[in-house]
Amino acid sequence: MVRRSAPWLAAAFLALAALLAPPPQPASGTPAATDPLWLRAASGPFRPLAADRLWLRAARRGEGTGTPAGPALLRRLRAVMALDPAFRPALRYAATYYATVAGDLSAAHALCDEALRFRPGAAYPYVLKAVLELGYAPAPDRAAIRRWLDRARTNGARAPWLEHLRHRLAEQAP
Amino acid sequence: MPIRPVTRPSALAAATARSLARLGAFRAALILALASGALGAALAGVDLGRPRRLTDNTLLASQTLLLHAAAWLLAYQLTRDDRRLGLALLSAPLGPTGHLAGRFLGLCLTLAGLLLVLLAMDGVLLILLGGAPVWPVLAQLGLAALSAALAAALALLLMQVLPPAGGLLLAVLAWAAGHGLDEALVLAREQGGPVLIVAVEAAYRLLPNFSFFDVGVAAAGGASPWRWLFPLPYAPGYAALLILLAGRLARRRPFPER
Repeated sequence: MVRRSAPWLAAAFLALAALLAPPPQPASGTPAATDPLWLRAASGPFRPLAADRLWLRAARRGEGTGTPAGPALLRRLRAVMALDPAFRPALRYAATYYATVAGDLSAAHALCDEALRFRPGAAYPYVLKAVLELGYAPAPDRAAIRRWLDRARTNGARAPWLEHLRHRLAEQAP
Repeated sequence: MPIRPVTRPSALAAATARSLARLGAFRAALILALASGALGAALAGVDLGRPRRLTDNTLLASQTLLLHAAAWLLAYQLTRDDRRLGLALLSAPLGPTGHLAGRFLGLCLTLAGLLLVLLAMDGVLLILLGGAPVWPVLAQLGLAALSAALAAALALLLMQVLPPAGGLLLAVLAWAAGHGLDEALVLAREQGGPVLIVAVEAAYRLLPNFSFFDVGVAAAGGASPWRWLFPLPYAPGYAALLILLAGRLARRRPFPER
């Protein structure tokens, strides 16, 4: 009886697995020419370790050299975020570096967006985007900041200072 | 391994686990497990006073590789023994499928022993180190062991249709490709047409998808419970499917190859 019912059981299992399988991280935005998705696919279960190695190389190149950050460094940092979008210290240091030392706020936002591409449910990248925009943009986009803070709150950020900032921005909205 | 008739897969599993534990491959895996623990302890000095990341990631990467390598080598050893002695076909009253199921269970028991050693060692090391929670590392290691068991089932299946070395190589490639299915689906949804999306979606849901077993320690706090729980029935269910198929293919092998 087991032999006769085995194909049906197998088909039922596959159907159930297909229905209940968790989805991959949904992506948003347009992928760049050198898409780190291939790096993610190639590193398989070793992504966090690959992110560590890339981060150590990027951090050595970036600090104390006195030279402006080039496109290669940004590509490497984007790859770090793609490999491990939950690597919070790397995101904080790299985005802050670009916003302050390199003077390139769009690159800082690009790094946060790369992390959000693979973890859209995260709160920290939205908080970082809002703080960097507010602190380093010549003319901060307050509507965008409010949007990011709202998304951060939706994704679980509940720090008192964030709530205070949201309320102040809402009061100042035209 | 002496040819003795067994009447139940469980008895065969116990005998297989005992024989595998005596193998040089398993002893080497144990030694490597202890070495990875020593490496973790050495890296702990680097992580002191900082977010504990290098130790966690190095431990997980080295032990994931160790578990999968051990699973593949043990599957290879089982298949070679079976082929040489024709055990799968001389397995009455169990039959080839029951024989393979028992051998696979024995392999899983052996892997479970290795996993327990790793869990105990990592738990002690990480608790002594302090800092970040220990449970995400141990849970991810558990998922890696499930992935290794599924990879072994896939290897056993492929080695029924191919020579053992070729089947093993294809199994390793299939495991690597299985980890890229989530990226393939993301790419297809971003850049592909409807036909490609449907095809990749079908592959994502129906083929052995090893990306289900990667949660990521740093992302553990933000991962949904279903992300952790889905692999628990998925791995044994899919492995059973592969072993059933392997048993069917084993019936068609010529008797025995020397």
